[in-house]
Parts: sequence; structure tokens; C-alpha cells
Amino acid sequence: MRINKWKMIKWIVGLIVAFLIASPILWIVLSSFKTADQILIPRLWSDSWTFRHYRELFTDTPYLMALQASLKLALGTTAAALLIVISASYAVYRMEFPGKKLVQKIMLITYVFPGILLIVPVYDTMSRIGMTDRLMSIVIMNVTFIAPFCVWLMRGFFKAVPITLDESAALDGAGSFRILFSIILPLLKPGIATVAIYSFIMSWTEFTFSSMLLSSEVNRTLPITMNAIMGQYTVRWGQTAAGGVLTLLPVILLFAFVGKYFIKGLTEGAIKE
Amino acid sequence: MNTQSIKNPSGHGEWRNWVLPYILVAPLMIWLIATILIPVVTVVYESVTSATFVGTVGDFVGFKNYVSVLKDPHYWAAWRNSIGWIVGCTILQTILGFSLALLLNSSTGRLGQFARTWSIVAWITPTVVVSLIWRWIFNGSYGIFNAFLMTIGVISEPLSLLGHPNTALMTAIFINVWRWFAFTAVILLAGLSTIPKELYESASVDGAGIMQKFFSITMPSLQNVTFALVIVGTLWCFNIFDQIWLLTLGGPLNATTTVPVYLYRGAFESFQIGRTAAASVITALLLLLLAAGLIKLTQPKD
Repeated sequence: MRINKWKMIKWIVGLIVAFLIASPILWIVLSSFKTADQILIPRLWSDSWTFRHYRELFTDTPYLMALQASLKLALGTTAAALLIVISASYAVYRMEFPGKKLVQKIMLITYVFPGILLIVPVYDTMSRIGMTDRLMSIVIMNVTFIAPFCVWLMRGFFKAVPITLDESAALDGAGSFRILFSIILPLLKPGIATVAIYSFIMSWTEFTFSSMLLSSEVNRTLPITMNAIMGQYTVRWGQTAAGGVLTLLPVILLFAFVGKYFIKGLTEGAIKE
Repeated sequence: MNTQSIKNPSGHGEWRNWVLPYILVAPLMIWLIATILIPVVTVVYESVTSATFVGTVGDFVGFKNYVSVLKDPHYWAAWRNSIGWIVGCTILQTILGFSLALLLNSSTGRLGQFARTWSIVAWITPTVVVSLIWRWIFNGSYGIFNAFLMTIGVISEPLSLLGHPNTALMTAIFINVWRWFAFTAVILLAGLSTIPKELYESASVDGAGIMQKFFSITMPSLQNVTFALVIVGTLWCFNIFDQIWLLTLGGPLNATTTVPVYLYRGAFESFQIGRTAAASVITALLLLLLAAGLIKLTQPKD
């Protein structure tokens, strides 16, 4: 009896949480297919459906350009973050060297540092060195706020690779670089995937620095362009909804393929002692 | 570096091993110094100048900017909003995150696996889409939330939840928690999975109920994780700018102008660079105090 009671509570809570998470997303997806005369009627279903908003999104708005900019930004950020995170975490979790504590402290501080306090000097510095309106400037800021968390994420993954592997390879005469590339890296694949997905998602949503640093249309990423489409005087809800769905879709697709590893990485990698 | 090569004049390989860790951490360190340390120094310097537009150089004005910020009631109002924002987000996020984590931890099989992966879908949704969705759902004239409440007769007039100063902050908190609570849950799940199953089993043998097990085993075991979550969560939460800006632009009537929104406006709407820099420095000091207080309060006893 007791077990059944808890089981039922579990199911009820589960359904409520599932509804809370899924229904808003379902709402925007359905809305994006509703015809113009139906779209603002506050009910879930519609009498008639259309693909028109998606067609118009491609022809009348800079969506595709923004998609390109967003992809460039996300891939650039991910590549830079991976290089920096893997090499730094290899040093921090696999080697002993004077100053290691200091390195870890600096990372911890950046990890919790509120980036918003830096908007003024970052903008100033970026304009002084001619980096405004370049995706590169956002890559630089993204990596700053992504890398420390990712190094911390890698900890568990390094712990999962037995240190005896390094030692026996070293006895065989392999140098540190060879040990890293041919022995440890292949075993770190789940960790690398977790870092890559985290970086991609974080830069896909980045708005603050993009909104102050990017100005020309070719450089505006999806969050900036979508915000502009939303903010126009006559809100075209159909295009806005379609744009919202197609801003979400790329990360959903990414997640459909590798989401499992990401969650596994977050839950198993992060905590291993 | 020189002393090392004198100590080990023979070992070329040893020299390489000695210098390698520094080569490996150098990119990250240089990166962080360039993007955090240099801006921090710049912001302190700018805070004592009269710079107005971004990119201009101002004259030295001493502590004038600091006095101006400390005397500004809008700055303290922004802090009030920020505290409300942090407290609201942290409490709601912890409750919902804990519930979801416990739920996911006890779910197995294909459905459990599916739920683990996809419960985080709100977190992968870009903030701009999150605000689009919820602004629409909560809209006063064509939002489905109002329509639903009116159909079941809870309200007779539609509410403008994001448009009214009394409800805007609360609503923004709810929306932000919607995006973040599953992420919190996954981090808590990491902690839950380290608790040995035997602990629960032996407690069952001793006749402990589910609630008893939760308070005597689960909670204490998660102390370190929740400690980290509270400190990190508070500072991350404080830092959130985009979600608020995309929902309300800090309005209505500054009801959602938290400190980050105040700073952004000072820099890019009022063009008071020196003054905003001073506000940033004061904010950093206050946050440091807040973090120290939180560490004292929540640090695990042992």
C-alpha cells in the first residue's frame, strides 16, 4: 500500500513537471503553423494550418544570414574552448607544477565572476583594438565564461582514466604529448563531447555581449536578429513564431544525437572521486 | 626557468617535462587575464574619470562618480530587485530542481533515460526564444494563460503579468526558473548518484520511511553539492541580464531593473561610462560581501 501511494505521487508530480517543461515549447511549435487569422486566438488548436510563415521567414527576414553567423560563432567558440580546456585540464589534473593552486584559484574566480560588471571596459577595449562588429570578439568573451566551468567538468573524466596508463606509457618512453594524444585523449571522448555540447549551447544563446558588440547584418546572430524581428512595431507573429522554432531546432537536433552523452557527462563525470 | 636548467643541465627531456604544464595552461591563463584582469583594471581606472560615451577618455574626477552612485535611489532600488530576483530564483529553482532530481533518480528503463535527456530541453532553449514563448503565453490580450484562467473562472479580467509593476519581477523569476531548474536537477542528480544504495537499504531494514530517509540520508549527503549550488547559483543568478532584458527591458516602471540592467542602461542608454564603471566597482565589492556571508552561513559544518 505504502509503495503504491508513493508511486502514484511520483507519477502525478512527473506528469506535472513534464507538462510544465514541454507545453510552452509545444505551444510555439503549434503556433508557428497556424494561419494568420488563427494565430492570435488564445487556444491550443487551430482551424487551419500553413507553412507560409516559414516561407516568409526565409524570404522576408535575415533569418538565414543570422543562422550562418550563429553557426560560425558556435563552431568557433567550441573549437577554441576545446583546445584551451583540454590542454589546461591535462596540466591541472595530470601534472604537478608550482603555481597549480594559483591557476585553480584564478579559474574559480572567473567561474563565478559576474561578466556583466565588465561590459564597459570590454566594449572600450574591443573598440580600441578594432574588434567591434566581429564575431571573433564574441568568441573571445564566450570562451572566457565557458572555459573555467568546462575545466572543472573535465576533472571527473580525467579521474576515470587510470594514472597507471600514463606511467606505463612513460616507462615505454612516450613523451607527454604522445601520452596525451594517443592514450588519454581517446579515453576522454565522453568528456570532450560534454564540453563541446556545453560550449555550443552557451554560444547559441549568447545575447549580452553580442547585442553590444555586433552591429552589421552579416554578423548578427540569431538571438540578435530574432529580438529585432520580435521588437518591430507591427509584430508579425507568424514569422516570429517560425523564427523561434528554427532558432531552437538546431540545438534540439544536436541534442537528439548527443544529448544522452551530455547528461551522462554532467552527472557522472562531474562528481567522480 | 634558468635556475631549473642549471640544476638539471643534463636532462633535455626533464626540462621539457618541467615547462610543459605551463605551456598547457598558458593559453587559458593569458585568455583570462586579457578578458578579466585587464577589464577589471580598466573599470577601476574609468570609475574615477568623467568619461561619457563609450570610447571617450574623461578627466580625473576623484570619487565624484562613487558618491553619485551611492546617493542614487535607483541604484539601491536595483539592488532590491536583484535581491528579490536572487532569493526568488534560488528558492524556486532548488525546490523544483530537487523534485525533478529525486524523480529522475528513481526512474529507470527507457522512459527514465528519455526523461533524463530531455528534461533539460528548457535549458538548451535560447533565452530569446524563452522570452518569445512566455511573453506570448502571458500576454494580456491574446495569451493562453489568461484565456485559461478566465475559462475556469479564476479571474474575470485578463492580467498583464509582465506588464504590471507588482507582478513583473515575480513572473520574470518564474520564467527564468523554468529555463534553469532542470539544469539544477541534473547537477543535484550527480550528487544523488554518489549516495550508496546500501544506506537506503539498511535504513529500510530499520523501518525508516521515505521522508525520514530523505532528511537523514539524502539531505546530509548532498550538503557539499547544495553548498556549491547556493554560492555558484547565487552569483550566476545575479549575473543574469539577457533573460530580463529580453522579457521586460527592465520595466515596467523599473520593476525588473536589477543591477545588471541598471549597469547596461547606464553604459548604453545614458552614456555615463565613468559613473557606470563606479557602479560596477561598488557592485563587485557588495557581491564579495554577499558571497562571504553566504559561505559563512551555508558552509557544511564538518
